[in-house]
Amino acid sequence: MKNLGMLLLSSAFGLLSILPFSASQPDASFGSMAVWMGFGNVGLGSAYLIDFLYAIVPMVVFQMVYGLYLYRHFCTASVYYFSRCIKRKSWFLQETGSLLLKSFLYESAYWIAGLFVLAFKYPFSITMADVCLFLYAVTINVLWLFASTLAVNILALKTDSVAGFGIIFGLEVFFIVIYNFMESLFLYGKPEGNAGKLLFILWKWNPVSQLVVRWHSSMWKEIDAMVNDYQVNFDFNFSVLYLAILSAILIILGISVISRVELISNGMEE
Amino acid sequence: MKLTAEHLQKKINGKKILNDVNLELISGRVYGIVGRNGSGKTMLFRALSGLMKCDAGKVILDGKILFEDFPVLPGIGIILENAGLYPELTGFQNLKYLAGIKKKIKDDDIYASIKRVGLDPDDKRIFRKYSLGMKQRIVIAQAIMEKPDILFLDEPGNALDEEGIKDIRKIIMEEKERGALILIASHNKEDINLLTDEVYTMSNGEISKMEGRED
Repeated sequence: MKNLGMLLLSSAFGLLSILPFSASQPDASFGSMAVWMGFGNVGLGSAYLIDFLYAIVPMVVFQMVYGLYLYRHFCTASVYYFSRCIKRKSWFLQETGSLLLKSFLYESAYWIAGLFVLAFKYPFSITMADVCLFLYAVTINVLWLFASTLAVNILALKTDSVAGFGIIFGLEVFFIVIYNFMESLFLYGKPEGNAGKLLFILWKWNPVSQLVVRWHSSMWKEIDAMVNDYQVNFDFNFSVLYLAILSAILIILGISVISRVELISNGMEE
Repeated sequence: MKLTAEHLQKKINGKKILNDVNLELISGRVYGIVGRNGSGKTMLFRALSGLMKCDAGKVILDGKILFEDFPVLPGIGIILENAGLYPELTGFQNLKYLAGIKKKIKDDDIYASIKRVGLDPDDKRIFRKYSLGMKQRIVIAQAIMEKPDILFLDEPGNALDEEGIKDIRKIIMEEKERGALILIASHNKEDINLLTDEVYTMSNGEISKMEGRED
């Protein structure tokens, strides 16, 4: 029931996200919808800070709910669970696989809701470039959702659930603020020399930068034409690889943490 | 089946929790451990079961060494003081979920275990809504449901009324008859006198056999 409820909620978030787009666009393509739903309504600059925080709400809800997905087994029933669960590492890998699937389904519900609105309102046409752009956007969002939620679980194991979620949410807000305050890089001209290079690296390696579809570039001209607003080299493959490596690091870290957890403290979060 | 603890030592925050603990336990017998709160009884249960690693010493089950040959002691049923179940699940759902890890038993076995401790398997109340006595009973049901070879029972009579204590004593004797190795920590002297074959005392992490109790 909880999983179904989450999918319905995600669909509702998807509809809320696409409605302003469909209301303002007389004509729209599948690709432009993917750009919009991939944080396309979020501009760069401090004025858009609230917009970005609002846009990230569906992800924060998922992190709150599934931030306890692995951690709950280490709470009050941990003794009875882990006295039966002999292979903790394979258990962890199974659970992270399940979390990845949940991230995928949650994101899919969000994006499919948008797709439905698009199909009903506009004459439906689709190109290969549209599909690729859509897949890039969904993959990046799924990987981020998975990695951030896994991080909440791992931190909760070392601290507690509130601290785990609080730290990750705090980091997200921090990165969003950094992202938004880097307006000088694009809006007021790129700084020259090393300062400019450093700013660009900071912006490119900022985790939340990966989420914004329209800043990305692509070697495929049809896709590049739909995105790359600021004509920078920020390939989609970079974001996919970046988030995949981040996820892999978190999985390895998680295995290390759960192997070392000694079930000593009683009554955790009863 | 023989379970041996050799020179177990554990320090937490500089304090010795287990201090050179040696034990030899065999199947079909009930062993009691008595001692004040904080004497190290629960820590000994955790160390013996593999839920906590010791700084030194070994736990050996039939020649196989814990953490070398297996990560947790195989075939154990355990209850620990203050450890609960999943608060949002009913008693039956909790046990079914836990039974799903080993997949050794069926729903009928879970039903039978819950009835054995005097609860209704069809009770729709979630664990959080249970009374303390009901919580203790369902936790005991989870320990015995898979017919384990080894039972570690930390204060099994906690929160139980007189009737409940009688029920649990009966279950412990039945489990002994079945051939289980049973280790009980209890403050209840009557439990210790009635149920156990050998008694050990714990004080400041050290264990010693209580003389004059060998049958």
